[in-house]
Amino acid sequence: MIKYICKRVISLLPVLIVVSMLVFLVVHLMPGDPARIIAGEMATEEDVERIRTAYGLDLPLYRQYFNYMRGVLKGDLGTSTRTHRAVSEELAIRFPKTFQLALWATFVAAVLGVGIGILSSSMRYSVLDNVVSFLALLGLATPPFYLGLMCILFFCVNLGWLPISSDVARIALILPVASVSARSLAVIARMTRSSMLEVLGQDYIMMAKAQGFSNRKVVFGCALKNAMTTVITTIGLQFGVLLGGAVVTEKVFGWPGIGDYLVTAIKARDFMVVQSTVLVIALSYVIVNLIVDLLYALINPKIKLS
Amino acid sequence: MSDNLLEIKDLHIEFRTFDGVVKAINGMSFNVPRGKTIGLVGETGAGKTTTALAVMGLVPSPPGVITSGQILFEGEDVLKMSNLKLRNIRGDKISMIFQNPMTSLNPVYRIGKQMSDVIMMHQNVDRKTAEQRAGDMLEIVGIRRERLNNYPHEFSGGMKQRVCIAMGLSCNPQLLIADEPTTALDVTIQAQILELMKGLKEKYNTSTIFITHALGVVAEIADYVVVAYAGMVIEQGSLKEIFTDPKHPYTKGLFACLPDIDSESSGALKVIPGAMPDPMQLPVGCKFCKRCPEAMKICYMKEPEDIEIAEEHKVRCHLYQMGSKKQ
Ligand SMILES: Nc1ncnc2c1ncn2[C@@H]1O[C@H](COP(=O)(O)OP(=O)(O)OP(=O)(O)O)[C@@H](O)[C@H]1O
Ligand SMILES: [Mg+2]
Repeated sequence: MIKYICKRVISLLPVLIVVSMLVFLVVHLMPGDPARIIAGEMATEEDVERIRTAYGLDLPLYRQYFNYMRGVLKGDLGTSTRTHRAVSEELAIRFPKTFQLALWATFVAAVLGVGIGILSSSMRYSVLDNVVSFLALLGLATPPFYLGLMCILFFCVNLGWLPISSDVARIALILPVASVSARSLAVIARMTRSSMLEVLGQDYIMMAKAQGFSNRKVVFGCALKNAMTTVITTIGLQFGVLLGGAVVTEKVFGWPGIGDYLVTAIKARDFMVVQSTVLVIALSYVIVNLIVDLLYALINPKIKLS
Repeated sequence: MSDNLLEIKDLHIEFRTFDGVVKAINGMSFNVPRGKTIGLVGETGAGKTTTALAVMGLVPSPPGVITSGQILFEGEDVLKMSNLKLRNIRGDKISMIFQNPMTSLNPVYRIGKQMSDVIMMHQNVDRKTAEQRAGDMLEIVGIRRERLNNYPHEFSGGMKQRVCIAMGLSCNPQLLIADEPTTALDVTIQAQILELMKGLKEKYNTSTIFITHALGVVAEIADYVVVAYAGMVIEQGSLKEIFTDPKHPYTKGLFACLPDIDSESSGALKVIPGAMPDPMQLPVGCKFCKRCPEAMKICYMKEPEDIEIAEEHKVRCHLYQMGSKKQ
């Protein structure tokens, strides 16, 4: 197992390098001259040129990339050209916020999604199954920010049950988590249902029944672990997506996370912030994927050998 | 009480699919005496597996519907049993070895766990004793007991089949249903498995329904032969009766299909021309009439009935109807 982990981690290095290059390139393709933006509206041509040399923006692109990466490896993610604060400091505050939201949302979506998926697969074609399928489709089709707005309108404004925004109380998590997790919940429930149905049609399930196992044992003891091999991947991907910041939802709830930070930075052409934030998001996505792969290997005995 | 462990009486099963009603079993009847082995033969689609599943109470539903009939196990109708009772019988008193050994083992659990789970459930023993017994069973089918720690994908096809057989035998069932259990095995292993099943029969008085295409295997192991065609039994009798004096044209055809080493004219294998009737549109009369070399007019109009031709020998064919020709 340890060998497998090492192998997986090493195989990630090229991925990370390519990702960092792509991010760097894409950011530099953004319209606008960074030096001019940093210098501000009122700056003279000379100011702009001075800034260009000071920031190393006059160097060829690959040199800029190496300079940037040298900093990144030392933990320096650059400074915001707008607020002049270190990006790493800002991310250190905001990333945990997004992480918290993503973790809770994934947790809720996974527990409910898997549960609902199992239930509706074992009652295939029942009223419940149809209702679940319909709701799941609705969940997929509803943008999270819209759901968030509706939730605020209903629970906070109309009913007055929950505070609208602020991150003091634990209770303030409820609405953001609910609206962010809805879509993931739908995805996970559908995935669980379909892979359970597939597994339940397998020969070894018939065999387990013929051996006298009860229905409950067949579902939870024999089928679930098999179905989980695919569901785990889905859950992991959902977590990865949410880590990237539920951008618009964070804005709706005033949640001070990465998504909020990124949107503001893009609007202000704060290229250093955009570049580093996207890099961090990509990195966390890659790490989540690694963890998912390891979990997958843990429950799927066929992987360990190869 | 009769000396039959299992009696299948006029069983009818259909699958109601979107495309139409598949009449898979159409009046299947045969008995399994205690301590005897039945060889159930018939070409693909004859309904052998479906009959076996019905005995276990496991016909997939939907789409399967058992429209009529009885399956008496120790005098009690399996089709009317409560779920709990059925579950206690399955795997313990009646055990089934499935047709597809490649896919019948759960890929995410060790063989040892899968085998001992069943033993623990039915024999009320702890994990250690169960693993012990599982190991013994593996050795009996010629696999080292250390392999208990392996996952199914680490076994070859023949080994998987033997693991399935070991699983099926691990609780000393009274009735063993073996659905083509030796197809993936080479001849030596096959002989060993057949020996094993014979030994079991003597030791525990186990009854067996042995489903197969191979008449050679039937001759080896069966006491009685049941020939199924289009979901019903068209001929049944003791091994000797069927092998020395087959009556039904279909049975005769089956034997003619066997390659004959003695005959000079060896070359192309003989086959029975045609195919089984579509189970969605069964003919009115005899189901075999279209392929029958000896078909008469009546065969197309009226379904033949079971005729007792000799002691322990029944055939379903108009040729042997009272007053009909030859005997
Ligand atoms: N789940 C199902 N849905 C629809 N039709 C089915 C189903 N299971 C079996 N059948 C039909 O029932 C008939 C009998 O099938 P069965 O599997 O019992 O045949 P068999 O004698 O075991 O054949 P083989 O030798 O190929 O295993 C076939 O016509 C088959 O198409
Ligand atoms: Mg079959």
